Amino acid sequence: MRERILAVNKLQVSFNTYAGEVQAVRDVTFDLYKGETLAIVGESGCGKSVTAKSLMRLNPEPPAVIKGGEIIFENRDITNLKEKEMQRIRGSQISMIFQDPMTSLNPTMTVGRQITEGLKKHQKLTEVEAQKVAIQMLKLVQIPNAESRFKEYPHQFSGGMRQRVMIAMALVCNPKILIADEPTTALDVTIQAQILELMKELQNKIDTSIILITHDLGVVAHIAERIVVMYGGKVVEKGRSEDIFYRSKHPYTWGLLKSVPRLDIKRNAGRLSSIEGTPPDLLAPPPGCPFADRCQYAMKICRIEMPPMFEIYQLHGAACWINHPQAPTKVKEEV
Amino acid sequence: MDTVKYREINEELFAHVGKNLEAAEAIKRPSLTYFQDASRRLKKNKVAIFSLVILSILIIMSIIGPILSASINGHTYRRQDLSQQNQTPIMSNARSIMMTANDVFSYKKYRYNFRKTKLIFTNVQLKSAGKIALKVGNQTDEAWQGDRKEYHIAIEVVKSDTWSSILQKLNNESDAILKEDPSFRGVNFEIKGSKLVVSTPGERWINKTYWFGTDEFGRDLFTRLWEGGRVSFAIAFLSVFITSIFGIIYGGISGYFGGRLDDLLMRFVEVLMTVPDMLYIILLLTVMKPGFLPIIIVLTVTSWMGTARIVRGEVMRLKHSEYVLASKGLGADSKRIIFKHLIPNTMGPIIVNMTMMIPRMIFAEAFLSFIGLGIPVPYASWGVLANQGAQIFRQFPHQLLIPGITISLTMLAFNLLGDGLRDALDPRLRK
Amino acid sequence: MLRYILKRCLYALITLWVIATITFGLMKILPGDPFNDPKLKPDVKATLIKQYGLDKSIPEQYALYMKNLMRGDLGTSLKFPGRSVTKMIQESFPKSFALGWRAMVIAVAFGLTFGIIAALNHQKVFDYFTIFIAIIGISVPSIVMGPILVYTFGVNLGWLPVTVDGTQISYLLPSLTLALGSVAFISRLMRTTTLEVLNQDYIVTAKSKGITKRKIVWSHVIRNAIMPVVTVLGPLFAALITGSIVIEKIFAVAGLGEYFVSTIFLKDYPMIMGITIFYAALIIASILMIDIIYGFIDPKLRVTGRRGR
Repeated sequence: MRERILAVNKLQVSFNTYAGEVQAVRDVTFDLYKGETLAIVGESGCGKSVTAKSLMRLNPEPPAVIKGGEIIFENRDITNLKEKEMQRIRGSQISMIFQDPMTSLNPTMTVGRQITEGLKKHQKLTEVEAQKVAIQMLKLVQIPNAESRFKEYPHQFSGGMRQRVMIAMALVCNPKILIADEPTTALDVTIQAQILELMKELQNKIDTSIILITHDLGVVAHIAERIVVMYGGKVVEKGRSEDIFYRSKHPYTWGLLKSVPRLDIKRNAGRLSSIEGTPPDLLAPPPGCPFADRCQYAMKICRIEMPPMFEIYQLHGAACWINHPQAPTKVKEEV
Repeated sequence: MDTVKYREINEELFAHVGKNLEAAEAIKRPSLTYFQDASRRLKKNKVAIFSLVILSILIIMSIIGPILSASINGHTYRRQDLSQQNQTPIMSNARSIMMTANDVFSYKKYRYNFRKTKLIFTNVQLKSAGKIALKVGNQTDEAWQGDRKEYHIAIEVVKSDTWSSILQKLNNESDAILKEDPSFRGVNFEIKGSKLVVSTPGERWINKTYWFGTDEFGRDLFTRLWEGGRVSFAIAFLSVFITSIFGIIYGGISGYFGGRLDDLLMRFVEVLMTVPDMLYIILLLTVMKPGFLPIIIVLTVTSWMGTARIVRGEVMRLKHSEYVLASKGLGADSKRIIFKHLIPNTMGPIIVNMTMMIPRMIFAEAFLSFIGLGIPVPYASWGVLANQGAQIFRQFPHQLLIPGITISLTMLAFNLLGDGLRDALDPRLRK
Repeated sequence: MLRYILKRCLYALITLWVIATITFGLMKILPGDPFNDPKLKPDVKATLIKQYGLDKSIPEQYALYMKNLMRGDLGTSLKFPGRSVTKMIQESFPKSFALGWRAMVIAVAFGLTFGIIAALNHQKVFDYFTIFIAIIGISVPSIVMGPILVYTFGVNLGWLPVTVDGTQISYLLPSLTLALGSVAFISRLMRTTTLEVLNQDYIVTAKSKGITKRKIVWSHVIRNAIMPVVTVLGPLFAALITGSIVIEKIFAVAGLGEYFVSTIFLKDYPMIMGITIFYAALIIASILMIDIIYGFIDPKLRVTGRRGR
């Protein structure tokens, strides 16, 4: 097995709002191994972005509070690092690219300066050296005329180009972990593939681990080796991609899979299905499984007690009572 | 792997129950119409409600204030009584003092209170022998409030005198006058460290006939304040009302028709907006004769452009918004679009704009009065009162402070109410 | 960029022309023709007739008036015969300007600082302090604030001189009074825009690069938050100019504003109109300048010549 570089253990993150405490992330546990791509999948509001931002402590504190758990990176627990120490990690050890490249770049600063900024801070390079590295990086993310574009402003770039700049900015210090928070959601479909391709390519070159946050299982299929499925602030299932796609043991994952358009499988109704209902209110999360109200297989116990993570096989686990040996067997796997 | 050992569980709990979509889709908040929602938000905003209360009080007082003082004290805003000029809300019969001669001591600074009934000399030092003379109840002084009588205190100081003997002499002299004429009420001389304080005693009483005092012509300030409130509010409300109507029509036409016409109309507005409005107002008012109506006309002519722009922007936005297109697609006629979509959606920004414009109008009126282009005498407006008060602020601060605080309170309340309304009516602008 | 500047210049010229025309029009529709005042001395009248071409037709008069304007000739005073408006402005304007630029500096310096610090300490003590200052500044008109400041700091405490005698310290009280409303306005605006920028995605991006908070504020926040503030500096300058009319009266500064007020009382029409045009030109020029500066600091405008937010 490969070297483990990040371990998230029973992480709890809450937001203190006027209405009360929103428990955005509840007992999230997963590991990240060197050089792998891990996808965190779930619908909006499931806590996946908050989890990702917690890894860099980028949630505004307050209102966000890490209520419990630990995030172990290089033998240190990130959750209780001081701001100054955190700044040393951000951008150099762990870096992040965001959903909307149109708003994630500073409109009044040249693209070049935005890239060299981090370099100068972390690697103590001079202006000239930093520029060289940055232009090299722009070439690496396949931006044509890197030298001249270095001096241009974000509004002179298209959406796809801007996301390339974001990637260049995130990878310029050779970080150990790259967190990509819905990196393709705001882009055209044709560009999405290019960006994913680029990330894959660069991962091999630089040897970083990638955490890909997305709501789109279609994106995940190409790129991720392992998948964590989140729902209502909890991890409901995790495992290797094949496990999730072909041997899933959680009704929510089934629902997600059914809502992905696919050509290879014939469906009886011939149309895409969606999961009915809305996610639970995290101001007052239910005591049992968060998905119980929307789950057609729900049992009495699902409403009463949160299912533990049942080990299915090696790295594959699912938090659903149907995996309990006492559960009725009539619930069959679905694909 | 953070998995668990299987635990024995009561078989019954594995009974199938299925979905509970009602719980999953329960809507946590009741649905409200736009104005219900807005008024609910406004009611929650304590500052805005407080402003509304203050404004209501000011407006009600402007309506009943002059009636009140006319029926109780018989005052009108224009009746002058020169024997009652410059009274204060709290009256005092302490006499004013003035130093007329001093060879005896030097001082660094010399200060007096508003009505000059107390003189304070700091860093006093004995200088030489000679004369100290004071005038008590100085008739030439503007600060006079009591009976018209003038007294003189004068003593000779010799080389051997010390501070205590000098003060003794002064007090003796004052006592001597008091013995002859008890209405003199005496003078106190005190030395505190290196400070010399000379003061006259007197009684204070609340002014029962002129609640807020009088001005330099002996006119009742209470009556004038609320009479001025009527004028100021009337100018502000009327000009904002006319401005808004014109702005809505202009902006509505420009936004509705769009294209070339819109280009032309908006270019015109742009040019007019660059012209500094205050200059415009001054120029127009010098041509027209200053008065109630000309001020309204001038304020209207110079401030409709902002409203026009806002309305035009809203109309443009709505015209292209998807829900209006959708309702058009569903066969809604233009009457329905105007009443169901256009008016409710443009009303918010217009109301906010109107609220914010009122304090600007009140300020403009005060500004014009200050430079002599306001409401002509003997009428009152808050600007006129503030202007008159500013002239003799040093002697009678209340004549500026009372209208000044009223103007400030009005502007404050309208601004805060406007902020509150914007938050309530236009959730998009909330942050 | 050049196109943008030329366009702005053209707008400025058109605006100036509109004002001049309105002014001319107003002169013509004056109810009691000031030029036919029977009390006017014949020699004054003769100069006026010559100056304004009163014996000619109205279009010809308009042409003459415009020609005079373009040469910088703003006319002659009615009440002080023989004194030209231009001369009067030359004499009195420097005093107003001395007041005006100080007020502008105070307004911008304090407004920006207050706004930024307030936003960075959102919902803490300094934020509430700034909101309080802003509310006072917006609600208390200078005609009320001026005398109060004069009395408190000038007369009662004796800390500051109450009239302007040319020394630096004597400008403090009047320029502070003049600037107060603008300090309030700028700090309020700067606070809002800073809060807005702090919520932008690119600030999270900057944070994710590991840059220190101070550096984020200096090179990312302020630069972006200041842009909308720059656009209001032109109108703000206009407000200071018209505001100084009142301030000069309160503090007895013999500047253009004070002079303007006295000409209004004297009904010296050519004077009033000349000074109005001068003020208008000044304000338009300052707005034009701000527009051009904005063009240079907004990268979008600098590259494409189009304004975009």
